[in-house]
Amino acid sequence: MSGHARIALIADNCTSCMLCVRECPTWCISLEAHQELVGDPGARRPRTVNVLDDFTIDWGLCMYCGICVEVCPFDALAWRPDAVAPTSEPGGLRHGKDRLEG
Amino acid sequence: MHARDHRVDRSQWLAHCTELAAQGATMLDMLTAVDDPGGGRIEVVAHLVDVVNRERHLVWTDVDRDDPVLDSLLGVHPGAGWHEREVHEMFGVTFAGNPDLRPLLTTGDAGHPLLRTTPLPARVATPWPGAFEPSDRPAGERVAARPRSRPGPPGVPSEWQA
Repeated sequence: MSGHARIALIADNCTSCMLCVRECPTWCISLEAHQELVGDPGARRPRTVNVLDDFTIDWGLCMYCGICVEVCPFDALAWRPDAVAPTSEPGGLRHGKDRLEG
Repeated sequence: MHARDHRVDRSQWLAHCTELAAQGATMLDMLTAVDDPGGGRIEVVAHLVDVVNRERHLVWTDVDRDDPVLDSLLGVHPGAGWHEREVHEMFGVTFAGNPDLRPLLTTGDAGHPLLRTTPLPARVATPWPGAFEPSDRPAGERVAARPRSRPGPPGVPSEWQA
């Protein structure tokens, strides 16, 4: 554990289960997802998976409590030691999937 | 420095904290509460520190949610006044013997914000990001199984939800 400065998204682990979004006390997380068919398309009961389209954390609302990291069953959220960069743009603290990964 | 837990009856709250102070836990670090509506009680906890022997104590008690009254620790820890004022404002617990329980932040008219049953009106007007379900965007024409009941935003009474 090297630091609690921001939270990163490991998108490959995310199943869009919505647990973090619903547990967040400040409502600072939102996500966009859709479902896709997997496996044999002719099967009697085609299986679907959730595909994550976007994942947003609003660092202006986040209070860095870490409940989302704790509650994620798939380790798709993790602490990172580098701080969130300041911004002068309105909405600049809303970081999408691209900025949260890594 | 691990904290030792003490659970005492509300009638023993003041006596127990007085006894701990006599044994060296003279610093009141924190006093707060936890609402437990299911159990019909509000838990009150004080964090006492013995700075000489480097010992920490968490003293827990609970009060009846319908009649939340507890003895004040003012006589043992003068600094408890501020914490008790805050707990009174946020949870509605009355501390017998504390003469100044005026609210610090609120007007005192809109209930006690940290009781789990107190509605959070601002949340009614704010869209809850948790309302989204991936199955709202199913694959192709097949409609995926939808959850039978949808969760609502925390802090908004179910009868207020659309």
